[in-house]
Amino acid sequence: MKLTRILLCQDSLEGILSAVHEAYVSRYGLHDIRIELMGQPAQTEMFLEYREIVTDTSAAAKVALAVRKKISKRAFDMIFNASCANNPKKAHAIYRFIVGGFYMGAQIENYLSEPSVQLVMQLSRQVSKEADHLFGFLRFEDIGGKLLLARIRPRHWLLYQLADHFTERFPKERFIICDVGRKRACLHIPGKPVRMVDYSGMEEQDGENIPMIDAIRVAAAGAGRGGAQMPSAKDDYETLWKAFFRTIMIKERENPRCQMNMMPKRYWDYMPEMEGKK
Amino acid sequence: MERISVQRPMTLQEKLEILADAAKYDVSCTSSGSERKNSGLGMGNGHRSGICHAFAGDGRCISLLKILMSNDCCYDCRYCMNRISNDVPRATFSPEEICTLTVEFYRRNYIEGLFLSSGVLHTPDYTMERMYEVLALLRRKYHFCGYIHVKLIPGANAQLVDDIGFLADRVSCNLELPTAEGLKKLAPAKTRTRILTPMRQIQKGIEKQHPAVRAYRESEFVPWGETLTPAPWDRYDKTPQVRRSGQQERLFVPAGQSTQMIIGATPESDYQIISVTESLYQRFHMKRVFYSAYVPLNEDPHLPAPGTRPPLLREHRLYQADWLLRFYGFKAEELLDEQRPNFNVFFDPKCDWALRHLDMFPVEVNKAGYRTLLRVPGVGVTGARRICRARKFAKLTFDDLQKLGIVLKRALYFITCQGRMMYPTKIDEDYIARNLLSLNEKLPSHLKDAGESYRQLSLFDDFHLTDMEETAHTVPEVTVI
Repeated sequence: MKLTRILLCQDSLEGILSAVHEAYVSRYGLHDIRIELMGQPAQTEMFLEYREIVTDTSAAAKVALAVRKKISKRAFDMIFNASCANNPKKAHAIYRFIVGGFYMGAQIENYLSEPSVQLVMQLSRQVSKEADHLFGFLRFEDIGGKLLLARIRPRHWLLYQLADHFTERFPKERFIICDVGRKRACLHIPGKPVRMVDYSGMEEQDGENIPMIDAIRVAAAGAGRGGAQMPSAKDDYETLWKAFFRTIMIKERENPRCQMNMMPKRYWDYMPEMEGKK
Repeated sequence: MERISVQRPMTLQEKLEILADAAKYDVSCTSSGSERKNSGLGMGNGHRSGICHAFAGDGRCISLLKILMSNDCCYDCRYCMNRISNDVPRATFSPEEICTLTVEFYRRNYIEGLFLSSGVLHTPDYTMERMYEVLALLRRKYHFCGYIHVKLIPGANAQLVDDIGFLADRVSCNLELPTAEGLKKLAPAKTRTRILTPMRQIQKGIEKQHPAVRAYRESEFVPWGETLTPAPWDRYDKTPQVRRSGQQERLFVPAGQSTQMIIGATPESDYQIISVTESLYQRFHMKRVFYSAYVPLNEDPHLPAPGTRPPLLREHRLYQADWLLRFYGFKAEELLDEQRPNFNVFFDPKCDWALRHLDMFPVEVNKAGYRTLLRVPGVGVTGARRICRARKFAKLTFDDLQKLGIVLKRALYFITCQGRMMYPTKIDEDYIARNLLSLNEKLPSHLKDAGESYRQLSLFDDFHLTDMEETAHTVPEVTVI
């Protein structure tokens, strides 16, 4: 009996695409392969063969290029978004999506009755929706007029999208966006490419970005907004913003439910105007 | 007579509170329609679909720093808080103050840009000149590339309007009231012609530059800028992206113009309002027309008394109809007419239309054209598009429709799938109306929770369509319970 082979890959676009590459070149049979994420609480089953896939950027690049050529650019964007999602089933769905796409071409996007296509689409929508929310609800704190610091706790992995958006918007600002939950941050210094930093092990960083590293340390230490270490507690513009936010509401139309629908509470932790309202 | 005046210079916060408070009744706070890259000199860019940065306690989006430049107005419009005869604190921002506020708020990602309106300070020309100064400073000194929306002051010099149009993303001139008579009664200093003149001027300006816009868009593909480092998802892309460097060509009002009118201050019917809206879209090429449910502020014999609740449901129905005009291919006279001049309280305008045109239903989902699908209650723009895409692959069933996001509990009376209805139903106005009403239309939370509710419709049997029309005429009274 042929065993179903499980490929375990890293939780990243490169990791998943490396596994897809392996699925093809191994010639084991596309339907006898499943791709799962490493580090999931896996229940090892009988009659399955597990293999760990080492992430190989050049292999992933080949798959990515093939997706863009044989399926479509839009399909690749969808896969990219879906790969950022916080969902253990995403790797296999992306794999099935790619297999179907190589067979059908760009039309795969319309094949909505196929479950993997539906899941990839749904995840892609969820990720871009949360990114859109954070484009708006993310708040920078001004630290000494030299550095902007933002903290977020998103459901999905969004630092790529956010870094891209804010680099385009603030090419002349130094800024840091910390994903507090995952302990990752992106650093932007004018004129340099954005750097992704894993700040759970900060001591290993070189001395080049010392003020930034300090800022991350501060951010990581403060439990929430208004924590003792926050240097920006007396930011005048933050006070002005809160005053504006209070004033702009029309009392006769007050409606906290609608406000909550449009701006879910999970974003409120790091928004100065919502301080103490949760 | 001795007059003691203790004049302490106002702080920035006090000014901001006065001038934001005065601007809060302006409705439009959208930041969409303008895609602009950063110039490389300053900060900011434009995002095509707009970004909402916060939602105020009334559930309205805050996208722009919405302020008046000054509330020191010399007009005496009866509906306005800042009319000259009201005793309210007055303040005026200096151009520098507005610029720093905008830029500092923008840096912290609080806002998407500036919404600048103003009371009439001395004369319309003087006011607009100062507004121009603000815009010029922001764009040229601070190199601010974010979104700017400017309210035009009716009666200002045409040259000023033109100059401002090249610096702003969107301009708007408030229609204030749906009819000229209403305007004459409530805003003696404004006339309809003076409001329509700048609108026409902006429209002509936008149309005039169309060939230039095309040339500009084509020139974007000329590879003469620096090559960008690829975005994370473009890292596998082999074709390098090209960006124009340096100052970009300024477009004239790239996000188009909008306008707004006050609902419920004067006795116009919904039919009049929606006809005005239609002609604004057709003849002035507006991007949006906004409606603002009137909140009574002043004691005045011509206006509803203070304390009257704003007609929120009516405003909601008007927005629904507005969408039907813009995206669903409806015409004003299809929705309402002289005999039925107001919207139905119980049904949204589309449902109401469908109930009156049952001879056109049911339609076959697998065959009907896009425009026909759009007219089915429960099917929206996205739903109709998805149906058109998905039916190329397989004949659709009711299960498929559910997956595509069609609201079947509303649509089921109006569609067939492969020749069959979902359940055996009658094509009968009373029957469908009764069933649809028992669904309790899903109203947006701003209506559901704002203390304004539908009358509970438990007495269905003595409820007939003729009654419904009568109740529809008195919208505000019925809805405010």
